[in-house]
Amino acid sequence: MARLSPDERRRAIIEATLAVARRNGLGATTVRDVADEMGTSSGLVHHYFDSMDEVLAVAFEHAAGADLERARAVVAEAPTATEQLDAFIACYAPAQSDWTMQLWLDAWAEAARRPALRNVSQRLNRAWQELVRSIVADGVTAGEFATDDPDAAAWRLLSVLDGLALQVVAHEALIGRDEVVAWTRAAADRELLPSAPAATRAATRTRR
Amino acid sequence: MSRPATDRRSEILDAVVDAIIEVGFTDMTVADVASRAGVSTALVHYHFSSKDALIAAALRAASDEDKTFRNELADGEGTATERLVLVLTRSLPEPDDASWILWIETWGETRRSADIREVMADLNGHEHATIVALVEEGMRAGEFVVADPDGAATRLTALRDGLAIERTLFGTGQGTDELLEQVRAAIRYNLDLTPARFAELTQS
Repeated sequence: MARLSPDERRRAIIEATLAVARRNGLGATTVRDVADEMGTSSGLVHHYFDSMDEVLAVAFEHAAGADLERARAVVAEAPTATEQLDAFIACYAPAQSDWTMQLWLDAWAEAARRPALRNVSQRLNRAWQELVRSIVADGVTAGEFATDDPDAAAWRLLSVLDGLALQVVAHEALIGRDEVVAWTRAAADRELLPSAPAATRAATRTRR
Repeated sequence: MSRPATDRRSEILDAVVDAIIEVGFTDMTVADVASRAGVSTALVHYHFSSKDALIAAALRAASDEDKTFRNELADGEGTATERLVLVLTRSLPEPDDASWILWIETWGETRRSADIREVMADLNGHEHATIVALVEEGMRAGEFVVADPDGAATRLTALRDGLAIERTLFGTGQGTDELLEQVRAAIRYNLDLTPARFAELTQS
């Protein structure tokens, strides 16, 4: 690994960390594992990062943050708030083999012991909530949605999605990505179109 | 006077849970568990053949407690709607709730250990079956009509889990009263109950 810039070195450490975490889990990934993965010494890792907590936090942010960026880009392309919300749900709902969702489970598991990882997961979680909140608030302004509390509605939608993702990934429940998407959309309709009776809502959704 | 073996065993299992919460699955050692429980490493090995067996036994014991508590709520007094509310709200966490921290830690491990997967599938299956049974009981009693009891149970536990993660790990989002209200509202929606009818069914 000759002649890498400090940024490239840090990047290589992050990539190696993610490769190990993918095999062993985030919590079981040690400085030694990362050094072995790179064919180098633990000293190199220590030179670029203060602690393993910091390495894990940066690696998690790199992987999970990319999902958020992708979702923001897709949402920005959608013309209406309703379509933005659909785009968000499609981005967030996991497949059973979803590696980022397993990373999230690992980050939650480690959060109590690793403050840097906890801070990153909390920050990303809030950023996701803020994305949903702004979609909902825009929808209210445009007359597409009705709610007096976009903030709370966004927390609820995110919570339903997290809980369903947990069912898919950790519990291997007999529900798939399609159910996660359909149920979250139904929950969103219920939250955001409170005055329309259920049958009308379903019809509107199918016609669209 | 020496304590009976069953007390020793349950003290060891409590120590495992403390160790998981404090240092995590990876760094937990049998020696650490022994010293937390105030017993010798040899005694731990006498009761449990390996670290994995020790972890599985501790999770099973914690899961049994959850299941017993849930059964008591589900088999208690009141309308099916009322007991559904109890099952889903009495399980809501306080910030830093030890029991929720344990399960959050454990979710991360389910894909890596068949034993843990089995314990978690059993615990999750128990909650799902309890909720579906209460929904069906409520329908038989004419409290409400639901097209898809199975889906309603999944959606309700999903919302509760999602809220619980946020609350346990970050202590943010919303306070206990708001969480309670959110779960109650979700039950109302999922059972297709009007606020008035829901109030009537849960008034006692």
